[in-house]
Amino acid sequence: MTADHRDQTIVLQQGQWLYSFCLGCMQADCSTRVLVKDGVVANVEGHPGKVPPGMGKVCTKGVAAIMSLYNPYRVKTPLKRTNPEKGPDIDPGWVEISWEEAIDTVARRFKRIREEDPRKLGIWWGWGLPQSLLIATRLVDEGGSIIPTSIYPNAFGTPNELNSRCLCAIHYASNLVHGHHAEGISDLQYCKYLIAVGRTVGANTGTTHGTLRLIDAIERGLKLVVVDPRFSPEAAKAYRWIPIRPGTELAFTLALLHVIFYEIGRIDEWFVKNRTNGPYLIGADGLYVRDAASGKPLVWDAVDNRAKVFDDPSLKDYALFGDYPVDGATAHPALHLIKQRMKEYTPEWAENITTVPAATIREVAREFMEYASIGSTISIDDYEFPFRPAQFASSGRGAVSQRNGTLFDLAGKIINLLAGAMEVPGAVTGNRNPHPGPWVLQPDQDGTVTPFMEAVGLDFKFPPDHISMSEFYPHAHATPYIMVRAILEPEKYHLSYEFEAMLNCGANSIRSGCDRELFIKAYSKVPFIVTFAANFDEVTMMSDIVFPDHHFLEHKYARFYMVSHQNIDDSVRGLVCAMGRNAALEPLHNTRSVDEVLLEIADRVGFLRGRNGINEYINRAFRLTGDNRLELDRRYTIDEMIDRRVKQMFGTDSGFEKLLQEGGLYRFQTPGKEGYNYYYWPGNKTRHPIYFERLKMSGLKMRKNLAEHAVTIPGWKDQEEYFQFFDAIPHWITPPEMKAPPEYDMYACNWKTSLMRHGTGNTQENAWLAEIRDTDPYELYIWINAVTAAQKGFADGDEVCVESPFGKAYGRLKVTQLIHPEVVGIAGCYGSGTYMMSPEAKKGSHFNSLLSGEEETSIDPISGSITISPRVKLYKVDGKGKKR
Amino acid sequence: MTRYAMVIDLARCVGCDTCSIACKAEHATPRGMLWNRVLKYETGSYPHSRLHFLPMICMHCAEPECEKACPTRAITKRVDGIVVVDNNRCMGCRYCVLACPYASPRNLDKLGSYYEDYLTPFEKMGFARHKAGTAEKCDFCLERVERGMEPACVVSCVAKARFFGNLDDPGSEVSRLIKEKAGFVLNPEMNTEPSVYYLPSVRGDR
Repeated sequence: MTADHRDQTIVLQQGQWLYSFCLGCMQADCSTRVLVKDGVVANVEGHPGKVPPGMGKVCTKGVAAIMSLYNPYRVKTPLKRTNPEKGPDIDPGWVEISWEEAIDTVARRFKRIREEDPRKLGIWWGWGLPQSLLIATRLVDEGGSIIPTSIYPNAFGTPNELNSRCLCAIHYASNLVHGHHAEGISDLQYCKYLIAVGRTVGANTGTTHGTLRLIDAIERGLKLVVVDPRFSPEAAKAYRWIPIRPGTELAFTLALLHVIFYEIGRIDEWFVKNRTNGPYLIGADGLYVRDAASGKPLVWDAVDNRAKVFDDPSLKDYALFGDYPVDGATAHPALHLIKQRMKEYTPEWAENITTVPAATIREVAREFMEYASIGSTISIDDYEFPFRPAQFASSGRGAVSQRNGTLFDLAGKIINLLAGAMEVPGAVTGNRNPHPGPWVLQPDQDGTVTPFMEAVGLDFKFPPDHISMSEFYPHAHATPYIMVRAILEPEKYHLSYEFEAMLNCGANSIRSGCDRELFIKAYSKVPFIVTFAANFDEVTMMSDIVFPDHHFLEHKYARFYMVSHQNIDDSVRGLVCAMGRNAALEPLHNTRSVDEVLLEIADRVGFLRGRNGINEYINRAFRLTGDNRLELDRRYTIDEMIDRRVKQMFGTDSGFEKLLQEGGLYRFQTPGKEGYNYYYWPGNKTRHPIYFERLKMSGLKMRKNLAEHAVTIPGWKDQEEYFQFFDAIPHWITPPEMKAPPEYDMYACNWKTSLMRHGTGNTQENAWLAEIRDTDPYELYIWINAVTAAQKGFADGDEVCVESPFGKAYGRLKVTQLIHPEVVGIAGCYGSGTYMMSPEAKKGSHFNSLLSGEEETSIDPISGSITISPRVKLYKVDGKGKKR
Repeated sequence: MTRYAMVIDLARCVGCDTCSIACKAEHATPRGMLWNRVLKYETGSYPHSRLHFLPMICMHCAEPECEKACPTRAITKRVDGIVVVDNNRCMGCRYCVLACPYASPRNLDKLGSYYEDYLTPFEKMGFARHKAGTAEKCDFCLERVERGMEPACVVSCVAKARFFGNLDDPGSEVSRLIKEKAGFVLNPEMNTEPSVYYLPSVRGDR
């Protein structure tokens, strides 16, 4: 007996396979194919040609996209609101309108705003379902200088490009120390020992390629050390799991530095002398001591016993420690000061703060330095590199999104630099944005790596241009929590114009940010909100005009691969890739391509054509040259623009059509040795900052600018609380959480999962993902350690409220051995939604409700990150959320 | 001879559930019906605790208890070792559900849809492949295997933790992995001779 009866009904291999790519998470870089049978999407698989980086894989979210396509709660037609009262759960009185009315209404309003003051419009973008190349194209993977890619805001003329990025401000330290974007990334081709602190290096969220590279590396023998308050999927694969009190990762890191300096005593001296600013002489003011004539930083020649400029060809050896007389004053090599600063941070001191046993800290420091194999080399393509197969992977959201987060990330960079483990095989390396080449690690006039992106810093201006007050946070990734405060209290924030309109695309700032109630209050005050929407989320419900977006499976489109995520190995080293997506079916509803709507609005308002119009910004952002360049005064379709970009990347015999036929076009531009930034600036040709003089300078500049305008940083009662972060050496600053009132006796922490990664891709409404998460013993629960639960009288399944000083989250308890005893853990970004969404959306606990962007208590003034591990208390509630 | 088998490497599995969702898409199983599940459980006391993942499908036993228990001969083992349910013969008595030591077959009480008043086009198409009131379980993606393809859970696994092949061929990848990496079956004491093997989550250990 066979199952022949099934053959009559199976759909397998019948129908048409069309190439596509996923939009289930922020990465959106998995090439797929979609099976269409009788006009119905019947399956989604990875691209069978194993197109990198996805390598023919697609995860939970990519397959489950079938259910978000057929989600009956989608936005299906253009809408306008009739109820002036705004709130996420207030009936907007939607009226269906034509596309013409919707576009005309928006274009007229934007035209008036642009004529009056373009700053009055804010454009909020994200990585969610409504996806736009005009709004969300970030840096493209070509080398050279920083290029403006915020196409739409720039062409409109507003500085107010907005984003929820305060929850993922991981870039400053890497932008400064590596001189590239987006983060130091783990080279897993050769790494043997990897300390991952408060982050994922691939597997925690089940990403396709990151997971594969990590698991392959572990199979090969990589020893993974996971420092995390909860036992993560990566901890299940780790050599060590080190649970830690959240928000104290800086103390752990400083103690590792203490052990390296004072107990191990061996560092990669060659590297520190030749490839860092460790030998630079520092004066009493904390700044470089400079040569009077040339202005160049001085170092101390330990052989000739006198100060010389750092690039003096007669230099025989650099002094790293000691007191040296320069121009009648005493100066110290930077490394001397760093070591001195680390003296107090003993493992015993750190144990008290982090709960990590001092013995563990010592063991990890020793193992790290041993595995770094200082002095060893490796030959790749006949080129000899320093070989440092050990990494301290710091730049991840869990540990960096803390008030001390940037200082932690910078301290982590110092650990790598002391071992010589930076931008060489086995170490923390470039993230391909820009891709490897002589433009990365290029030394500035001081001989140190030229800072990139957020490490460059925004120029001061008063009164500030930015609604989010970026002028006061020049290195911040984003400060949207200040935006809402400025909208509500414009005078306090020196706002010199009335914020009139917001355009949202691909983000739900109320769910995915902090200060939920403040955001709602502020958005009620914004006169005109326009949203490209996939579903009726909080921001859509507060909008005046709603443009329905195609589901991505309905949307013929392209994406240009930018960076490797989580980790890198030879399978993606030097990869340049474009992915194409065929429309799998005719749109189910009255939807349109976001970019076509944006082009139409731009044309009507008058910023599409001519100088500094959309066309010109496309030319710049897509790096179009020669015949590929758009004529400035013509109207192009988005498909034509994509076609030019594909041709620019892959030659004139390629193009959008070819991309759609093949699904992915790619080549390896900088494979092998060319994939390591060391190769372009070897030996002593460049120097990573190990002493962060630029950060100190940023603080000094800010003081000067504030004094000039006789203002203070708004929201900081004690200005020194702000300025203490702008120091050249990372140091411990006791987080406000550690001084919280005793009733808040626990910490909260959060992590992403394979079912709910970035909260993009409409995963919270997805019926299949919901089915899996509902059967999962951990996903939707509030985790509490079993011993703590017993002490407090909590039991598995108890309905509880988690309350921080800023908000509350509700849910059911999971009593587990897998979490730190002081920590309440909540996964993903569940438990939020509106009455017009699938009831699935509101299930679970909304972690972000616990978070705030209140300046003095919650902000890292360098990166602009908010603290994501607030102190909380926990109590039982009845079915209606009332305290029991 | 061919005896199809699967090897699931617990050292590589990251518990992401892509297999569960890929299975759902492949077989269009109605709401509430999962042929592939990833069990998660913990052992030990903090801080020496551990989280474990255990993907579960039909074990395609050489001596299937479900087949023996089935009064209508709806469940049969094919010559290639794949155990299948004929939904036209199944009368939904649940004997197989009770007999299976691995909780693999489950009764499809009704064609559960994801939305109360709305059947998505995908479900409408998929419902033709299921029959309410009959038992269902993993069939090793029979339709794919007969076309020389690997099961959906194997192809989709992001960690490459699953391997499919012929257990009767000592040179096959599955035979080699079982031998080299101490492959084991669940509940060997039940003597059902499963065709699904696991590789230990920590090498050299179970």
